[in-house]
Formats: sequence, structure tokens, C-alpha cells
Amino acid sequence: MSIRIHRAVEEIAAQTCEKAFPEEGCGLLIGPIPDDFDKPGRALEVDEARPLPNGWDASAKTNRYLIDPKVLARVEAELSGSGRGVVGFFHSHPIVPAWPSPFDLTMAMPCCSYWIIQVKDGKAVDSRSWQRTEDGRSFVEEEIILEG
Amino acid sequence: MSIEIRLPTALRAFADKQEKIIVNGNSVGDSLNELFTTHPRLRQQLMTADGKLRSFVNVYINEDDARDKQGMATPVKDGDTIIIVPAIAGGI
Repeated sequence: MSIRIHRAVEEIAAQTCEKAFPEEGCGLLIGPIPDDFDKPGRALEVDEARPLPNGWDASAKTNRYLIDPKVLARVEAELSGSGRGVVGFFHSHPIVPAWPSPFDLTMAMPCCSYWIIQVKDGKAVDSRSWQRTEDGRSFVEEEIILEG
Repeated sequence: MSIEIRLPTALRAFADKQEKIIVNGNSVGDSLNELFTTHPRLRQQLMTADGKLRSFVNVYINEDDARDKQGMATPVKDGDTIIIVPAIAGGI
């Protein structure tokens, strides 16, 4: 199981999360929809990151993020019929490691990649990517392959 | 009533990779039930064991949030579009 991320995409996501520090940054990951998207061993490719504002209430943006569902619906409509889609999401964990929290698991969708970027002192220092299992009980880490 | 249901990328694998599915229904609930009958794996992803929409699932009728109307009982008419959108959230 892997996620192949173009370096330009990595740069955009990292910069978004660094700029948001000490709050959480977030955005969409876009790429071709694989035929085996729902399979645990699937390989995903991401060729576009689309940073979005953290829509969570201002009082808790240091430990929560929210993507406006209407914005997500608009992007899905924009990609309709193209064979590409919103195949994942990125967000940052200010200071703490890039491991998904219980709250991340509660809110996670199947199939997609959840790419978490750890930011310390305003710099992205580590990242890990995760896929939720179909039964919703856990995340499985996937290999990040940077290319380009 | 011919109602179009649009699925997000994350859920299409549970509906034979379809993005848009036509169902018949007089309400949001009717329409979703028909969807779940044809694609039972979607029910597991979207509904709780006691038959309620999971908290992270948003349902729009055209541009309107079903929660701002009558929820699952919201009537739909021929040509309406039901859009299922996950609430993407998380954090530490």
C-alpha cells in the first residue's frame, strides 16, 4: 500500500501547514482514481494538492481542522467524469507526531489517504500517510513515495 | 420520481465505481434506502447500526443541507439531485 506524491505537491502541502502553524493546516489531495481504490494494497498517485482554509471554530484550530463540505462538493463536481477525484486529504499536527488521533479515526472516510504532516517551530519535520480500514476500526500506514 | 444521487470519490468503490446513480423516491430517506438496497456496502459506511446517518455525513438536496429542511423526511421531486458529502475533519 502506497501513496505516490509529486514533489511539487509535497511542497505546497508542507508550506500550507507551515504557514498555518501553530494552527492546523489542511487541504485536498487530487489524482487519478485507481480501480482498486477500496483495496488495502492499493497504490495511489497524487498530482495536485489544493490547500483550503481550516474551517474549524477559531478557538480550537490548534488541534482541529475542518474542510467546508460545500467546497469539497464543488471540487468533486469540477472533477466529475475526468477519472480524477479527491483521493485523500492532508492536515498538520502542530508539534505532535504524525500519527492519527482517535478523533481522526472517528471522522475518517474509507479508501482515501490521510496524509498527516508534523510541524514543529513552524517547520514541517515529518509526515506519514494512513488509510482507514473498511470496518472503520483502525488506520493502516502506507508508504510515501516522493517523485518528480 | 427520478432522483440523481452523487457520491464522493471516497465512496464510489462501494457502488460499482459509479459517480451518479438514479433512484426512485419521494423523500431523501426513500432515495437513500433504494441506494442502500442496491449497494449494501454503502449503508455500512453512511449509516449507524440504529439506522441514523453517521455524524460526518452531509446530505444536500440540490444546494440545500437536508439538516436545514426535514432531514431524511425531506420530500424530493423528479429531477432533484441528492449529493452526499463527507465532513472532512480531524486533528490532535
